[in-house]
Amino acid sequence: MKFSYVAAALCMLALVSCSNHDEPEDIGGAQIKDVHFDVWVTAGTSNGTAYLVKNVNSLEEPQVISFENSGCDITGKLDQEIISKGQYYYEIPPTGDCFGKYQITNQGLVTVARRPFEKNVYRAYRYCHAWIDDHTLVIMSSDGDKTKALWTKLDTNNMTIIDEGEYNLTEMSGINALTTSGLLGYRKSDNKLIYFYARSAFAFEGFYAAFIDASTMEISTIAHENKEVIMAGTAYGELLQNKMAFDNNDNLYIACNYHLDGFSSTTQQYGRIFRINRNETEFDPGYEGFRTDPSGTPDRGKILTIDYMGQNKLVLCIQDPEHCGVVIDPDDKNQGWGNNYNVYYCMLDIPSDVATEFKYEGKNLPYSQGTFAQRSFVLNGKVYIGTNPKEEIPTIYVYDIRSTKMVKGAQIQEGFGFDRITYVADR
Amino acid sequence: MKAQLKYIVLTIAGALTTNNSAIVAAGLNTDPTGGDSEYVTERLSYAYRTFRSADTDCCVLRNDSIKSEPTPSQSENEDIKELETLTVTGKSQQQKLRESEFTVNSVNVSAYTNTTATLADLVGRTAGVRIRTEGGLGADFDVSLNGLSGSAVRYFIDGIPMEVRGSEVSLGDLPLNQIARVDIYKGVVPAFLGTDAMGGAINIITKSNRRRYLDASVAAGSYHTYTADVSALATEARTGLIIRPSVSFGYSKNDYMMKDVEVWDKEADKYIVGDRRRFHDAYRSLQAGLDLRIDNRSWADRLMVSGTYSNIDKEIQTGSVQAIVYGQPRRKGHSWSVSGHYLKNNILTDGLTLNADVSYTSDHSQTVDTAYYKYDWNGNRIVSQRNEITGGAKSIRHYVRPLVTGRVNINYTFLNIHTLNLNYSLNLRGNRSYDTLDKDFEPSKDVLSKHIASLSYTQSLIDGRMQNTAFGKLYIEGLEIKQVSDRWNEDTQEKKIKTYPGYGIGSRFNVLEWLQIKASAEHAVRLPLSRELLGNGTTVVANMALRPENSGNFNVGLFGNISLGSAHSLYYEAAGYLRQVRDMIHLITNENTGLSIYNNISKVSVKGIEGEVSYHFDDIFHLMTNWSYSVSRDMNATRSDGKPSVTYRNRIPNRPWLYGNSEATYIHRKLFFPHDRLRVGYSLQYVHWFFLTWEGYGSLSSKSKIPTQVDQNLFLTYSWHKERYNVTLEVKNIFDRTLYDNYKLQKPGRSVMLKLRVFFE
Repeated sequence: MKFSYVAAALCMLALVSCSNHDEPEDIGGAQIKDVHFDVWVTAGTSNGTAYLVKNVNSLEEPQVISFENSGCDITGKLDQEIISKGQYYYEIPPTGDCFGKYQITNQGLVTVARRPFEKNVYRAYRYCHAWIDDHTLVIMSSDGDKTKALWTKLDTNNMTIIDEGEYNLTEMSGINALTTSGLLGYRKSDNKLIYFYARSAFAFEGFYAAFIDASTMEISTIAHENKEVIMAGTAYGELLQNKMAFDNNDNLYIACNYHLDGFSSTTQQYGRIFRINRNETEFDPGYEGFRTDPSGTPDRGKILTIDYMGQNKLVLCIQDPEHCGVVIDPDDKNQGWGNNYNVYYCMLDIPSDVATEFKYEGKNLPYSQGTFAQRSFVLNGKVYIGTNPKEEIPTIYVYDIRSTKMVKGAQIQEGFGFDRITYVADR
Repeated sequence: MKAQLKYIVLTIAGALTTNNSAIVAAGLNTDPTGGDSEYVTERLSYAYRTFRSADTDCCVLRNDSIKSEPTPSQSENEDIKELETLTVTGKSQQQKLRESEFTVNSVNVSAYTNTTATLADLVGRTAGVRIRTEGGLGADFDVSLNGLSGSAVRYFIDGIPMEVRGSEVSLGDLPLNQIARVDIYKGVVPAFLGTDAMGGAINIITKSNRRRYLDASVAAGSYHTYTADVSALATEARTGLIIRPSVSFGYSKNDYMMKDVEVWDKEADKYIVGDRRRFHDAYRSLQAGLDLRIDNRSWADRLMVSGTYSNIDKEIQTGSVQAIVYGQPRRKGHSWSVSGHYLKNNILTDGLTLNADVSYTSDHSQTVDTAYYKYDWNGNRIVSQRNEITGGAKSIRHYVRPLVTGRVNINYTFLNIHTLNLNYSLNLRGNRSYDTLDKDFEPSKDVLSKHIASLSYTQSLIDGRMQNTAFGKLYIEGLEIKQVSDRWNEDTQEKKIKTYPGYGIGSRFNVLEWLQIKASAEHAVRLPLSRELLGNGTTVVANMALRPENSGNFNVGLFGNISLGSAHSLYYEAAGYLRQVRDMIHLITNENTGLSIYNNISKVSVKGIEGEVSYHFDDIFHLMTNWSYSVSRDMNATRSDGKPSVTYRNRIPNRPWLYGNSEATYIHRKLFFPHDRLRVGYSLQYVHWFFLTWEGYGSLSSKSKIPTQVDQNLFLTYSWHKERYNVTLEVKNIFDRTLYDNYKLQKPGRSVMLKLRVFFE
């Protein structure tokens, strides 16, 4: 009898062990073996800005990345609001008449292919996108009258247009206008594209989510989130900044912001995260994330970017002068949030809704500047966080998700505007 | 001289005066702006009597031509003598201006009246001036004087702001046959112009002939270009009322070939490079004017009432780069103005002159962008879901910008060597914008006012060999803005009045005839233009936060005339300058959106040198070359985020820094007839290549450049019957080079123009 109990216990242990071993590890971001990194900076003042991109093999290796007579000057050719996937970048160039596929090398820009639009025409960096698979891309945006949403499905292997169409979303939603680009996500588990849009980018009155069958491109349902929020991004899609993220169970988290009382400008906000659970077509009424900032203060911190880190945690880029110790006169409209060093990075534990600032050697990472930047991503089990502090040289920190160790990585030559890092597959 | 009845016709450019400045030729006035420089024809019989009765050291312009012409109307009773040789030497208005304490170029436009050049072409050929054009006839262009860009430069017509003619009117629209000369002040601007120019000022001096004349010309040429100009002057005998009507018309389809543009090849399934004609770049301009004038009355030396009308219609072919192709948008503008001018010399006391102007302009422009199509360089289009320029909804954007200007100038010269000048100018600009289609556009109604007062003192010492000037200015800016420039800054509404001081000095010393030196310095302020603050409705968006720019301007120069014998003369000038600009206003273009915005750059340093040498052989051959080297540096030590800027002290990109012009003119007289003339001219413009963005950052292979330009032009004019009839053949860009002033905005290739002009006097 004892033996049978022991045997049963061992079997259970074996089963549990097997079960744990088979279950995929909850780590966010892509896994790419051969990869290099692109560091995007701007040079110059208001008298013309040069956009420069430098390919580097590592962001963890301590080095100062220089742009003097090196890197690629993409000014007038590409913008940093661009889609990155695999070995390539994709964007609608300034002509607005085609869709292009590019590679950036330290010697120059390579235009791999372009495809002229046949029906739907978009504006440069005023559209959103989602990848259905490694080579099927959908782009969407509202039309010039802001009454319809246009969509185009592209095959990026051979750079052809698979299909295109439009949705009369104002009529379907009972509103009189659409935001410029909206946001688009793809939920693999039920093959649904989810298009987020609102009536106005300036009105804190909620937003909509249209669920689209990615095969037929038919809208199945439209959900409405009617809280007094605006989406964290409505005009530029996710060409520069990540405004939503899926966890490994296909739950979608989207960043939104409420207007901060006491400030005249609508840009001064505090954030919330809303969720649409796997296979659901409504917002999760029981979830509202980032209710308190890392110091425990409720309703503080505007969400700029969001990524899924893994282990039920989100990586958030937050803009909050008060948290960062910057004094802002609410009546001084020229003293915008974007001009100050008031941006910090934290990880948000989804179940407990506890936000924790990223630290290096026991101290919070230095605070950064800039509203329109994407200096973080999750790749190969690590979180890469770029900072551009006021008193220090711009530095990239790398956080190992498994070991929870933070290392100080590459630095950027002083004197440049540091707004973006991306990763690019080598093959 | 021997007594014999013989007459010649003396053609004089400029006023005929004695060495004590007394005017000996009738009908010439002493407008302190120096406005009287037209060609006048005086019969020698009259001139000779005048010479004899006045100081024989009279001065007339150089290069006068004396031609024989029997004239039957001379009185037998007069003391007539045969004139074997009459040698007159003197200084042209251009030369007098060069000898002022200011750094100034003066272009004798009359010499180019028979050509098809525009005023912008002529200004662009002078030292230290660079004009960057975006295309053919009617295209937008930007004037740079000594490294400061076009918006820092102010334009005047006879001392009155050119914007009175309408905001759409530019240097390229003014017909040459109505213009005597153009004075280009670089850096330091005389106080009498009463302006807030910082880089300099261009003052266009129109002809003010007193004789009756009719001047008419037509021209036609490449790219379906046609122009016609008619102007006349008549005097009503009974009242002495001088009437001067003028009409000019210009049209060009501008369908020149665009080289190496990309088009989609459906069969090849890829973009290919080819040459395609422009297909939506037509430009039409109509200008009309009427001057009613009374001169030389006891109560006024001049009283003039003028009216102008302007109508411009321009198709828009490209965005800020030529890869952005438009097929239907256009810009239209029409304006009319009325103005009054009053001049009285020796008012109240000798030497005191009152000069006053007032004007009102009705100015309405609109940008039409109503087509939902996307065009390519083949001229093909696909149906789109947005407008062409901004990608938004259909739009007819209206800008109603009425303008009121006023100027009062009091000039007092005493003891022949001291001059005080008090000037006040007013510029009141309204700005009402609305859109008749785009419901999202927020209408606006703004008012911008500028008051500029100045006081200057000038002394002339050592028999005129030294001249010194000191002046002070007060700039007052009034701003009332209710426009919403950015939806995120929803409460951008301002009402403010600010004052700014300005001051300067200048000095010129005539060491020797061939060596004269000058120096000037000014603290200048330039208030933002309405289009800089409020945009142009298409490619330039508004920036309400724009501040005035100010500059410390310093000029030094030396120049002189070297006589190489009776028929040969050499003129040279060399100048250096420094501009220390703060809050400099500069147009910034986002290449991806094609939209631009004016913005302040905290600190910029501009240093440069320039030189010109010209050689004259009698009135037969003229050779001129000028070269300019100008470097603008970013003096912002920190970026907008407060951190050090890597471009500190770097050369500011996208600006020409080495350029030059050369001209040669040959005149052959009596080719077929006694009074005919053949004039052949050649001009060359060189601009060295320059980077589009900051040099030194990014690999060289990845950087964009504006290539070196060599533009060569040739003209041939045959005139007969004492220039009553003129025909000109002109070839521009004779080697059909691909020319760019701006990044990827190609200018026309080779063009041929034929012009016919008649001039009856």
